[in-house]
Amino acid sequence: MTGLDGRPSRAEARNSHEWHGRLAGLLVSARAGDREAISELVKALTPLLWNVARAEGLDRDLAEDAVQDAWLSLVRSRDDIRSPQALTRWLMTVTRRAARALNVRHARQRTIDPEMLTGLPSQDPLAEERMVEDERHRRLWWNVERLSPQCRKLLRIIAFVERPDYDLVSRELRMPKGSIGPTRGRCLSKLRRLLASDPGWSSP
Amino acid sequence: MKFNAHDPLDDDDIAVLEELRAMYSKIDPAPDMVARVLFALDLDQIDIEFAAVIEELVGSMGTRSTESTRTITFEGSSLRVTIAVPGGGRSYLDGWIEPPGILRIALVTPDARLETRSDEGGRFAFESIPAGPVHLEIHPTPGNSVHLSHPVVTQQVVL
Repeated sequence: MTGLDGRPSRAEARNSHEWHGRLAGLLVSARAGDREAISELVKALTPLLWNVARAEGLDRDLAEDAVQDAWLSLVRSRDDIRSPQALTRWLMTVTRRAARALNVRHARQRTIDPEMLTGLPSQDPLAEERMVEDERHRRLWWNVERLSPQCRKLLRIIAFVERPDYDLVSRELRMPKGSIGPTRGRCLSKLRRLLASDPGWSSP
Repeated sequence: MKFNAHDPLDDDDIAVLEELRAMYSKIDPAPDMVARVLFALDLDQIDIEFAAVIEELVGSMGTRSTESTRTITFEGSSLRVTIAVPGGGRSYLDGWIEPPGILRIALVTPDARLETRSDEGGRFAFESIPAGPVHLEIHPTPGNSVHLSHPVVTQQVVL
């Protein structure tokens, strides 16, 4: 079974040895220039990086630029990235940095050219149209919209992190770490409470 | 239900995160980046510097306000190229390079290749350009102030 985005489903990836073992193998081959391995790695981690870039508020074109930057940086970089955990964290950091740089550059252009404003995520009419199709998504979206922007951003990213990697990003994403692993955290608690008090939402 | 922030993640938390992932994947799917990344890496390997479009403006710049000029700026790591294409069906193209210098420049279309040189101020022009997809190549040219270590190839644009 693979998920919607072509990655192994979260349930399948619960075995952290399997997920990390797969990434570790791909990482070694990709850095040696193996195109097959680069493709596999790009397929496996792009959905996460995409959501990191989009959570920074980039439109779709710029988000692609940021994600491409991250992948090219990885292949060109001489940094010593050995573990799969380090890989995920490194890619997330580079994507976020690229996204912020693009944001600054384009914010400057937008002040010159107001036409550039069209196409920002919040004004994408297609997105809203697609939303309505699925009642459950709409309900979930409605509740997510009630969270603070910081919580929306954090949950959007954590939703794309594989479960074995919660630990490694928990500090960065301000999810407090418990004695046996990551805890629910403030933002997920808030969302769970909102969902529980929404009569239109039933537990999965 | 308290849903304490300090409790460990439970199965329902995981289920909510999975639904969030499905929702974002549906409304804002990540594009397939494989072809794009491999293409960029190929350019890397054959030692070409890629200059992507960083800005495109349409505005009337001429004396006659009915004509709108398209201005497209490409940026690579060693130089920036701007081209201006007049509207109104006229088929020439002005351009300039920053930093300025005398460089060999080619305009490449699917069927033709036109060559020229920029002047000391970095300015160049092509007459009678065909409509359709084009890209520019700026080649290392010995004996001037701008040193390129490899050719700069711009993103393809449709004129």
